[in-house]
Parts: sequence; structure tokens; C-alpha cells
Amino acid sequence: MTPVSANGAIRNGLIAFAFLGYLILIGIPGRLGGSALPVLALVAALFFWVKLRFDAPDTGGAGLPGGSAEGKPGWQIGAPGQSSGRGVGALFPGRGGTLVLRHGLLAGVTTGLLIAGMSLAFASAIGSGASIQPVLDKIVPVNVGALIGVSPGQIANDDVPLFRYPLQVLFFTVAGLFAALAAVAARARNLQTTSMARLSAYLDSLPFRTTARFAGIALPFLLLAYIVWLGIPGVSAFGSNEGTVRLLFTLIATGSGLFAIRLAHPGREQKIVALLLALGVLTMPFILDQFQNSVMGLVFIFVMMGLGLNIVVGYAGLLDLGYVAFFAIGAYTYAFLSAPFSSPYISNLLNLLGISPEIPLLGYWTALPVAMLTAAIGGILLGIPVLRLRGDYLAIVTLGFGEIIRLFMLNLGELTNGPRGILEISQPGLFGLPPQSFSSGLLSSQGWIFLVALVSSAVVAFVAIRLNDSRLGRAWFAMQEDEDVAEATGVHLVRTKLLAFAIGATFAGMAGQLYASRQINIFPENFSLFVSIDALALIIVGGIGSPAGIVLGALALKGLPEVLRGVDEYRIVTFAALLVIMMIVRPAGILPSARRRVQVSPTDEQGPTTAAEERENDASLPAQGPPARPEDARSEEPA
Amino acid sequence: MLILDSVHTYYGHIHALKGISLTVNQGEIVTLIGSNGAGKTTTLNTISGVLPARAGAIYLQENARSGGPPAHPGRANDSDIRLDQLPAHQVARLGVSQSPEGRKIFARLSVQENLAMGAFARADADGISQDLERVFQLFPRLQERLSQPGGTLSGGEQQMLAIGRALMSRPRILLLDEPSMGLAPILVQQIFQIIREINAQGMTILLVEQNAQAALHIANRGYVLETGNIVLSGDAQDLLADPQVAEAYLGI
Repeated sequence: MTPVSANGAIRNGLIAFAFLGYLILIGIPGRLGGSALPVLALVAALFFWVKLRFDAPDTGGAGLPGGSAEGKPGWQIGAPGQSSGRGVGALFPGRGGTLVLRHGLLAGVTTGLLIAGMSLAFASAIGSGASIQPVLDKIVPVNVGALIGVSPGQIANDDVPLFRYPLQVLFFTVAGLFAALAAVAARARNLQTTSMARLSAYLDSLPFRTTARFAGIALPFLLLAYIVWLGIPGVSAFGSNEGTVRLLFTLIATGSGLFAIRLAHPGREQKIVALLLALGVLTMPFILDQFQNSVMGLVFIFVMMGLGLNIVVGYAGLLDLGYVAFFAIGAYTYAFLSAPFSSPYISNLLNLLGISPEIPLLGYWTALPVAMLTAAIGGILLGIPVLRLRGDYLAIVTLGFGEIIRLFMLNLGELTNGPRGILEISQPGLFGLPPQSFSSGLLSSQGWIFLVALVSSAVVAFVAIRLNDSRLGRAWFAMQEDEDVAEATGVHLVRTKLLAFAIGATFAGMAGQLYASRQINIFPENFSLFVSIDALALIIVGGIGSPAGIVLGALALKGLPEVLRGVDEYRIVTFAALLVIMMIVRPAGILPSARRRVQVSPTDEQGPTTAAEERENDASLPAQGPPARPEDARSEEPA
Repeated sequence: MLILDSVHTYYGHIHALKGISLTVNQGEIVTLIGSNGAGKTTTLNTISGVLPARAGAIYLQENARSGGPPAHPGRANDSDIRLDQLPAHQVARLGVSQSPEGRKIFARLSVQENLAMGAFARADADGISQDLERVFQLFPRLQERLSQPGGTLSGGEQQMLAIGRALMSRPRILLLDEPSMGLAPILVQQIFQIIREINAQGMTILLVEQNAQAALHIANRGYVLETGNIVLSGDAQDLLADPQVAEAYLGI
């Protein structure tokens, strides 16, 4: 390990600058437009963070045996009850913490100065009409222009405001500082076990506790919301990609709001934060434009999908790769009920029932229970044959089921219109009002869909969270742990499994119906295997079993690719790299559920009883009093 | 109260239980001892319905449900419940509760949730909280760890949790599978003490053990199992004194 020194910090800054310079040369900032600066600062912060985590000396942990936390992926670090100080001091035990901080600061300043210097040099060169090397001529000016937030033409005509250069220095300095803070927080072993808990404990330790907590929780969200509405001061010219940049900030604001809920104390504080977040998110459909709304609508349709699949995979532990089937069933059910296309089968069925076919047969809300019910029946139909299967075998069979449904849609031409799809599916209305009355004025048509998606996914999330704590939820988790033991405690395995499939399918049916009305026209290709994979990936990225994590996963997996449209052909590569980084940094998902955290790091460093201590504990059992629990350690902290 | 009548169980083609007959009377501790692979755990799993019996019959005597003494103790009767024809979850609901070999607690559920899973088949909130109190009296340690995930408990605590979970269903008969497995000697002593205590409160217990000596010391009667057959049975004291048993299982 390299010792931390000023030279090392400057070297880090230089490496970061070289890396960013390379990105500028290949034209990434030019594609991003005016948002290049914050994005590059983020890249730099990530780089610093990785460097600092590996370079910096061990902070804290004095008296703790071994470096077992070293090189361990994830954030499960720390034994409770070892606090050596309060407040900020507790975060930076010894001199190690301040050293890391200084290191990050210095590296950030170095990078910022170099970037500012470079863009100043280019701007003045172009401003004075100097011609640059012909090869670079085409790309470099565009990139530098993006960095300082103006187009090349502006550089020639107007002077670039001087404050843009200090702003660049500031951006990278802050990036370095944030990275150092994160690195220190991740290393400090003397506080809580999770980074969230550490941050929360830190907020607790501030004077004017309540105010500070609320400020700490609300600030990031307010700041981001402000940015969404007004743009970044000084970088207000988002350039040609303004729409995607706003979308990015919308995604980040929503995600940070979810983090804030996790950060708040359970109870009143959490409720207030949740309410604030709900209000903030509910205003989004009215502010965003058609494109951003359509992306956010899709994101929340996938939130519903994720929450439903989470019941099957996360709660009941049944790996379902054919989840798209229920999505398709929901979509097609609604399509049959609301589109002008009428298949002979369905009109015959209606004649048989004595109903005169009229279009649309049912409105959105009256069709909703029908779509949910058909999807649930589909879930049970899939569930029955796979009751005895576990693991890989189950995955293969469900995969097949998904494909069967898609091929049905494709080939049952008379029923589903085959590859020509079903067109002109109607939009949701409300209280007898036609859909058009919602998509005028304040609310765009996609905004209305987004709003419906928000409300529907709130309902789904409520049900999912309640199920998690219910008797049925416990039965699912028990079944996931050990089917035999669960059965021996009285769990009816068949019923419990089928309920998981049915409830999961119901949610997918809801999502499918909304998707159909969002798309207006649906085709069998909309329901390929990739929808299942997306849904599964988003719950894994977000954190299996945790509803808040699933929303974050959907924001990242369905929202980010749209933002990255700005980088064209690098889109999927960038996205893949982000995913890989995310899974290394947080292997249990972005916001894992409490239950999952246990599984991911099974024995060591989990609470007071570790595998190593087990024997001693057992031996001294009768004599020993109650052991210090994390809660105890924490409640003493602010005193 | 529990009667096994020449029960045969198979794992595929392997004939694991070759006609086991045994009786457990109300209020007794009956122990099943034997070496590895004798079929002790298989017997318990067959009773609890996790493994289906292919032949023979398992009866839970009729009054076992209401708690009163059976009309024909030790003898199967037409009005008795045939456990071997029921799926495992229904056996559990009839009051046959198993604490499985190797603890098998739900590692990711908290201690509280594990105990709640024990009471899964019950709906009487008052009775459940009473039983929870009783479990905490027996195992004060569990109360301290209430919100901790089961998987983070030590081996001894997990065993306590497994027994506690089994008790939470307010069973008529408790099947204990190797409660001393993998525990420190002092903990083994403690666990056996607690088993005796539970029995003193009126619980009928069928105890499967490798630690034959300890098991016979607390049991009323015992059965010796060898490769799927019962080779010896009798009062626990007689078995302890039996030279054959002493040589084969007590290590004397």
C-alpha cells in the first residue's frame, strides 16, 4: 500500500486528468452537451473513490483484530460499540480520516485546475482565431465548448464568462471531497454496520438534531428538484440534450428521495419524508415534457413488474424467467376489451353471453380487474405444473412458458391479429371523463400515463410491503429457506406457492394493461424474453426483496439507458460498465432488504455473535449477562 | 398417544425403515437411540409426514387432540387419526411438532419471526403470546436476540430457537431430533435439563439421540434402532443397565 502523501494526491489528480482528457478527446463531452461538466466530475469522483479506498491507510479499527474487512466487497463493515468520539470526530478516528480527506481534496483541486486551464487555453486559442491541428479540429472545439457550457460559435463571438473556470475547479474539488468522505465512511469501523446507518448516526450527532436531520435528508432532494426545474447555475445551457439531462436529474432526485426515506428514523420522521417525496414525485408529471414523462411512465410500469416479480423471486424464492407472459396476458386482455379489433372468437363468446359487442367494451378501470384476474389465472396455470420443481429446472420451465405465450400471440392470428398486433387501444379515463380531458393543458398525454403509473405502483408497493410483514410473507420466506421445515410447521406448500405465482402475475397484469394503453398499439414483439430479463435484472440491481430498492433498480435500468441516448453508440457499453461497477460496489443491490443483507455476508462481522466467538459464547452461556447490542451502542452515542 | 405399527419407509429403492413399531404414551419421554444410518431421523420424518410411509400405519390417538387421556392407551383404535395418510402440514396442524436435525431454523428470518412461524397454524393471539412468554421463560436468551436474524445466532442459541419454534405450535407431542448435535458439553447438559423441564410441564416427547447415555438418563422408555429395525426396547433404566446396549452405544 502506498503511504498517503501530497505527491501521491497530485499524482492521482494527474491520472484523473489524463483519463478525463482522453474522454474529451474521444468526444464524450461533446455528445453529452452542456451536462458534460457534472458528468465528468462524477467520473472523477468515482475514480478518486476507488483510489482512496485502496491507497489510504487503515482508518480507525484500533484494537479490532485483523483486517478482515479489507478487500471485502460490500459495505458490511464494522463492529458496534467501539465508538471513539462523537459527531464528525466519530467519522474520522485518528489522523487517518483527515489524511484521506486532504488527499481527496488535493487530487480534486489538481484535476479541476488542469481541466479549467485546458478549457481556458482552448477557449482563448479559438477566440483569437488560432487554428488547431487539423485532425482535432473537428472534435476538440465541440468538446471544450461543451465543457464550459457554450457552443463553438459562442466562443468566437462572445467572451466566455470568467466564473466558469472557477466553477470547473469547484466541481472537481467537491468531487474529490465527496469521494474522500465516502471512502472514509466506508472504512470507519467504529460506527454502524451499514453506510446508511453510519450516515444516519452522523446526522444524529449534529447539534440542533431535528433540524439538522431534516436539512440533511431534505437538502439533496430539494437541490436536485431545483436543478430539474431551473437548471444548474452557470451551466444553465444544457445544449441540445437538455431533455435528457433534465431526465437524468429527475431520476436522481427520485432515487435520492428513496434514500432519504431509508435515512429517516422509522416512525413520524419517515412518514414526513415519504410524504414530501410523494408530493415531489406527484408534481413531476405536470412539469416534465412528453419525452421525459413517457420514460418515467415506463419506469414506473417496470416498478410494478419488479414488485410483482419480487414476490415470486424475492419473497417465495421461485426463479421465474417467464414473467413477461403475465405482462403480455394483461396487455392483450385489455387490448381485446378496448381496441376496435375484434376477433371472431371473442365476438362469438360475447354473442353466447348475450352481450352486444360495442367498442370499447370496458373502460380502463372496469377492465383492470378483468386483466388482473386473467393474469392471476395464468399464474396459477403456470404454477401447477412447476410445483415440484426447484432452482434451475424451474427457471427453464418458466422461460419456456414465457415463450409459449409470446408464440401464441404471434401465431393465433384470428384471436390476436398475429404479428400485425392490436391497434388503437384506448387510454385510461376517470369518473366517466374521456381520456382527452386529462391530456390537455397542464398534463401531457404521457404525463397522464405517468400519473396513472405512479398511483398504480404506489398501490402495488403498499400491498407488497404489507405482504412482506404478513403471515403469508413469513410463510414465503420460510419456504424459501427450507421447504420441508416450512411444511412441518404447518405451511401448505401448494397453496403458498400458487399464491405467490398468482399475486406476482396479478401485478404484472396491471403493468401490462397500463403498458398497452401507453403504447396504444401492441405487437407480440413487445413481449420478448428481454422484458423478463429486464424485470429480473432490475430487482437484482435494486436489491432483491426490498421495494425501495426495486424502484431504484427500475430508475437505473429503464431510465438511465434513455439518458445515455446522448452518447449514441456508447450507450450500451456505458450502461454495462455502470452495471458492473454497481454490482461490485453494492453486491446485494443498491438498497438491499434487511433479510438479504444477512444472506450476502453470512457469518463474519454480523452483529455481536460471529462464528469465531461462537464457542466462547456457548461455553460461558450461563454466566453471561445480555450482550451489548448495536442499538444500545447507538443510543449512547449522542449523549 | 402416538402409535407406529410396522412402518416401512423407502428412499427410492432403499428400504430405510423395515417395519418399525413403537408407542409413545402421554406424558412420557421416549428415546430412540442407534448409530448413524439406523433410521432414527427417518422415523421422525415419517411421523411428521415429510417422508411418506409406504406401508404400515401411524396413529395419533383420538383424545390426543382434546388433551384428555386416550380411551385405549397404547392400542390403536378405529377412531384414531391415521397420520401416515396426511400431508406434512396437516400433521403439524394436528399437534405433532418436530424440531429437526441440524436445527434448520430459518436463517434469514428474525428470532421473533422464527417463533411466529412455529405458531403458523394457530390463530389464537392470546394463546400465542402466552406460549411466547413460556418459551422466553425456558430460553431467556432468545428474548435478548428477538430482532436478530436466526442465522446469526450461535449453535446453542439456534438449538434453543428450534425447540422454541417447535413449542410455539402448542404441540401434543414434540419430536426432538438430535438436540445435542454439535454443541459444547455444558450446553448439552443445559439442553437436556430444559427437555426434562418441558416434559415436567406435561409435554409428551419423542427424543432421537446419538448421545445415548444422556438420552436414557432423562427418558422413561427407550427403543434401540439398528439398520431400520427395532432390536431392543424397554425401560430406560433397564436399557442403561443392559450390557449389549452399554457395549454398543454407551462406550463403556
